[in-house]
Amino acid sequence: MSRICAKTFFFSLLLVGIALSPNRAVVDEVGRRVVLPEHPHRIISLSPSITEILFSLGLEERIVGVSNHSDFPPQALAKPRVGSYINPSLEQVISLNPDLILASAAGNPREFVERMENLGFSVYTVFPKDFDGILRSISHIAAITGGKHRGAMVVQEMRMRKERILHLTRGRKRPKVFLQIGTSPIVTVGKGSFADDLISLAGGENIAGGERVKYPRYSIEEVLVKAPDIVIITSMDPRADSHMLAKHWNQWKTIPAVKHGRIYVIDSDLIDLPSPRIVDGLEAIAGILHPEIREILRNQ
Amino acid sequence: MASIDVSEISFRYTDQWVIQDLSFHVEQGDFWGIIGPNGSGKTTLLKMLYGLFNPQRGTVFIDGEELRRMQRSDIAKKIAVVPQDHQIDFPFTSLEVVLMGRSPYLGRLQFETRHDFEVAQRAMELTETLPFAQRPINELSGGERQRVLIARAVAQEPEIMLFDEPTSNLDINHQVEFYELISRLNRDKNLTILTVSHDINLASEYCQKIILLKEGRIFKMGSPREVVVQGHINQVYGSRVLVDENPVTGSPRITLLRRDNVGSAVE
Amino acid sequence: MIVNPKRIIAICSLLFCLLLGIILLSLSLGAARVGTAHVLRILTYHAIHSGIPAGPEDLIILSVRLPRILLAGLVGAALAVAGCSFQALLRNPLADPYILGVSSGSALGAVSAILVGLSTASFGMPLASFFGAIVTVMLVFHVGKVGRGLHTNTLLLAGVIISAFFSAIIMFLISVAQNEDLSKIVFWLMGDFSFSTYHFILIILPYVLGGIAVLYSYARGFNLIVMGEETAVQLGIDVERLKKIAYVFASLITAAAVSVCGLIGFVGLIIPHAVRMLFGPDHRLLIPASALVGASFLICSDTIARTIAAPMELPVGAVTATFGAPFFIYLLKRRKV
Repeated sequence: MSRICAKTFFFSLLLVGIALSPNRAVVDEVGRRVVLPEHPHRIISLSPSITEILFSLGLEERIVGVSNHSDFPPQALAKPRVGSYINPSLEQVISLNPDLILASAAGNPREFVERMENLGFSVYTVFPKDFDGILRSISHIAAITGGKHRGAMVVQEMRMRKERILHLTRGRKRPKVFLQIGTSPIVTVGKGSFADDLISLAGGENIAGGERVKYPRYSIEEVLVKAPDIVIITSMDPRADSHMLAKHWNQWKTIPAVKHGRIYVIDSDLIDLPSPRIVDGLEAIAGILHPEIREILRNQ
Repeated sequence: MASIDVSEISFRYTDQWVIQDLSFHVEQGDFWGIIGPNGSGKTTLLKMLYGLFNPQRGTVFIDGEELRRMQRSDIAKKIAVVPQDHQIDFPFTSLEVVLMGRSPYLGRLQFETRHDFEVAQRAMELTETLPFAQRPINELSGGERQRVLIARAVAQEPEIMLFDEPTSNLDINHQVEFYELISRLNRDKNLTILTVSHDINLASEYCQKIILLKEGRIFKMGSPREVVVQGHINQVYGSRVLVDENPVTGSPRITLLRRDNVGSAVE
Repeated sequence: MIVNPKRIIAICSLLFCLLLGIILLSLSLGAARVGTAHVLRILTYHAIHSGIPAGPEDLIILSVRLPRILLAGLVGAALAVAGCSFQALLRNPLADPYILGVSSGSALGAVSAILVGLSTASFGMPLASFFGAIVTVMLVFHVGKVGRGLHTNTLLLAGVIISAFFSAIIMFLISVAQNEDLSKIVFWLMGDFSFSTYHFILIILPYVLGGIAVLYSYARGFNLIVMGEETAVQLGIDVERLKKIAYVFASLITAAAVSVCGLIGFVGLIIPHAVRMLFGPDHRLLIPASALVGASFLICSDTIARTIAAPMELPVGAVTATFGAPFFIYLLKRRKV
């Protein structure tokens, strides 16, 4: 009997506590109304890129759980895992008792977000679609975690570096680029993918840029017809040997990129993750597309 | 009294008539055999006698009632069928199989009562199947399985029993045992029995009356002595047989002849 | 052993206790640790005081695990009873509830729903899947009718052909699906309880319980029909009516089960077998016992699926197949089907 009384008492305290602690309502990037605490200090990230953003905003202390493949920065490896990007674990998340959950509309299942909301948790979903969108997401995350100032700094630096690339590549000839992310079948990047946006910003022309699908499948014939000047290879598969893939292109001698030996390998984490490192990816691609500016980028 | 009246029935599955203008009358307590070559319609006729199929023309009457108008469960209380032996894949025990014969008397949600168990037990005593009451039916030999199915039919407490080529899978000793058993049932319980048989000798030995079918029609109907006659058999089966008398019982008996014996025996 | 009401009640009570034990055990297992005693305390507390849960453990037990376990139990019971019925209907102890095409129809409905953008947790999904199943059932029924009756072999063939046709359409849809949809489709096709909610339980409960009740009322008829259709007729059963009812209701409970969790194989096939081996082929015991054992089995499988590689979740269909296939081979070897 007394144990029940005690429980009821503490439970009521908890309720009162919740009622009294400052909460506010915001609208997240997919249009959902989210009620969250003013200063969340038990944050869970459901995507590796969000984890990166949180670390870059100096919020390491407040992260209580991250998604499985959160491996950057290395300190993220020490954080408890809550399941994969496409299949987060309800129980893991609940048991960590978060006051804010950050989700990505690009990969986390909508059903999971809805379920967590139904259970009474605050879930803020980001949905960046291009480079500027990533900057906005970083700002939003900074704002809701009470780190507006730090967020502004990160975003400002990224913006500056982007402006510099635009300035350096202005007026230069735009080479035709083919970016390969899968081997069999051949998959490239189309409109709506970050990599496509980077290629444009870096002063290039994505030969698959007209495809409205984010990751369209291409046949080798289409590549031969479109004759790209530059081929960039990246692989999201950590086991794939990108250099082997590069050699694979050498049989197609009619492609200008092969003829002039302009086949490059790039780390996929830099160009496809909506994280602060996207600007590194932008600079890497710009350096590939316009070798002349590579020196300038390296020096500054 | 359970009499069967078959009145000018004709039946076909698709285009061809399998049974044509059959009429006959069976009295309570009669023991009839139906013989004829394959395709003469024997089994089809039997199936029509319990209403599995209904004739396109003509009517079958059971005790004056039209068979096609009777309820399934009422038919089952009057007529029991022992099918040809076949493989059963489900391991029901013999007792469970015999108890299935009580089904017509049970409501859909009812369980078997003590009375049902008693009837089943008596049926198994009669057929000497009690020793394997608890054995799964799919482990029994052909002869044993046959007797269990007869016990099931007896448990239905029918007035009429129909058999479909019951001895085709049995050894000769079991064949005789079988006919002895059903003769006993016919005598002691006054059951009306019709059996389709491929074995003319056994049929003529045990049955009181025989129907000889040819191409869906009755070729000859009557006592074994009247039906099992050399000319009739040869005409219907297209065979060469010799018909004489069983030296012990006096019943007509057919003997198959080889090609080269033909000349000496045929008249 | 002869089946009578006392024996049925005794055995089913035993199986029910087993089921309760498995439910309790499953509630305490998962990615987060919650002891059995704590589980009991949570359950009794909330049974008396309905209201908001006090902590993350209450939430996990009541809102995450319990609905999932109950749903798995319901689905397991449905699939097992459907399996019994189809095995009787087709007089083949190797039949399973998907053999007549229900699976491909519901899969087509579900895949279409996913591609159209429906959330797998919304009501639209089970509705679409159920609709697909019903359409398939009607189609197979229609093709399988011969004259006024249902002809078993024709039914089987119709099921196989329509299944193949829908599978082809599904393959086409999968080939044009985008990545996010693909993983959802794959999980659905393999069986997935991760989004079980009390709502799902409520929507399928009437179908499953009602269907099982109807099928059970024909239990003795099932006993007779497996001995042969002609035998059943001559023993007084309206065989055509029995076949139609069995087919309709067994398909209904299968469709309802599949609509909330996808295609889970082997339950409908091996549970009736196991129960038959233990308790005999009399459907008056086989059906309720299969329901209870099916429920227990699927709850166990789902619990294994979500704990063995935690926090990752295996698809429950993979677990049932992993246990099902070797067991089935064992059965075949013993030839005691």
